[in-house]
Amino acid sequence: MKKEEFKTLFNTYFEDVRRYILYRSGNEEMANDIAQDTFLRIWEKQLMIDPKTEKGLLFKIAGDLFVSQYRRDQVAFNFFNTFQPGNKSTTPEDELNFQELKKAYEKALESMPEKQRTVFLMNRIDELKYKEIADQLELSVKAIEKRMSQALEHLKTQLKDKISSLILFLIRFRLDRTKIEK
Amino acid sequence: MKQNDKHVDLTSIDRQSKAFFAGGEFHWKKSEADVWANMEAQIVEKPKGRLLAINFGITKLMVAASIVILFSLGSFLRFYSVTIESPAGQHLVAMLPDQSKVNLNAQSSISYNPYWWKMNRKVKLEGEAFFEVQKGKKFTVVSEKGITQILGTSFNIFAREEIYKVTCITGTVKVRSLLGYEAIIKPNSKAEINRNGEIKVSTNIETFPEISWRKNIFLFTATPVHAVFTEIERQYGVKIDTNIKDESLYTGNFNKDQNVEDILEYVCPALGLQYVRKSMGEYLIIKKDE
Repeated sequence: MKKEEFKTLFNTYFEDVRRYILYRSGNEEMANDIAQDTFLRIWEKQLMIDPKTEKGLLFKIAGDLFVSQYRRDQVAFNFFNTFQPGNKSTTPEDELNFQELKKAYEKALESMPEKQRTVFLMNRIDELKYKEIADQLELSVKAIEKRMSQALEHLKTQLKDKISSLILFLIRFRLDRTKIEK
Repeated sequence: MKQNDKHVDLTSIDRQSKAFFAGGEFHWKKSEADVWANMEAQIVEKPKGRLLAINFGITKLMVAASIVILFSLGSFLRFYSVTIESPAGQHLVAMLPDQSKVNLNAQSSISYNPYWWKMNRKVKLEGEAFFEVQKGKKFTVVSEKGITQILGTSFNIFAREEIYKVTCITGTVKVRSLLGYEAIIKPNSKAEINRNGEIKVSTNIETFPEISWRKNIFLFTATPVHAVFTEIERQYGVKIDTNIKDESLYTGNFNKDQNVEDILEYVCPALGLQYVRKSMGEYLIIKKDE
């Protein structure tokens, strides 16, 4: 593999890989390190990559690295340090609600099983369809559906006492938000 | 009703979470370009050879490893050699893998590749030996001064120091000197390589003196004195110092059944010499009148 080809591969997939590890770990540094290691590994082994499966392969390598790294050191989960939800609050009260909600989500995501969290965030943030997630993680659509509903179930229990403020707050949102596809 | 409640709850959390996450942004501390810059320092385009080796993959590596192993095994079978050596004072009979027989005179050695024998019957010789070769493929005897090739026959080779001579007893023998001279000799003939690497062939010779050593009889016909004493040293495994500068020739014979002092007793007077025993197995030859 030539350096130019490698750079193209990097530019095409780096962000995807790093986001994927962020979803799994909730830790920006780890996401950076693992994404970089994933590409370095491809370069060092000079793997011949089939363009059809390259994304799946990169995700696989990154996932394996994550599993082996994750076992070594437990890192802090602070997803919202990296990801900032759109904040439409206009009043101090809204702002307060928003911050509270964010905290609640952070907690809920941290306690959510990693597999559910990954699928959930890929769907919510990357706005990927179940089929696309299934292809990327080499899982069945059924498995994705199951993880999604488990994730929602989890959120429901975790955010139970926040539900009312959530609804109040989000009511403003919903009005100016176009329908988001599943 | 409860089921319905649950459904409603899930739907609302679904919608709410969608609204919450949509429109968010990532704020990475390191940009993609930063990471690339960091990585670029670590990647160096590798030399082609290395790439090829790695692209081989495990199967090809295994094939390569097998080839290396086969090659080593082959080299082992090819180059593994056996050496048989008869020390001074002893004669030995060595059997080669195809039952060809080699009588080794004292202080002589042969070596050959037993596992390569079927491919090439080749023996290295230092000293003197009598060969009885089984019929078969070409049989080669290599010494420092010359090479002898045989099909299936018996012959004697004397290859010591400057002298290389082959005596054919049966069959046909081809002698080649290192300079490329060749001679084919028939029974009762002798080929001798001289100092210039040329081959001198003598036909219709009396072969017995050449191979009498096998019967423990040593015949000398106009042989330089020092060569006689060297032969005695060799046959009895003793040390004989000759500080005489005698160029005279000796003709006579001895039988190894006699002991070494009897032989010296017999040989010395004829040359106007006498021997002194310095210690066990060590003799000094001096002029008789001293």
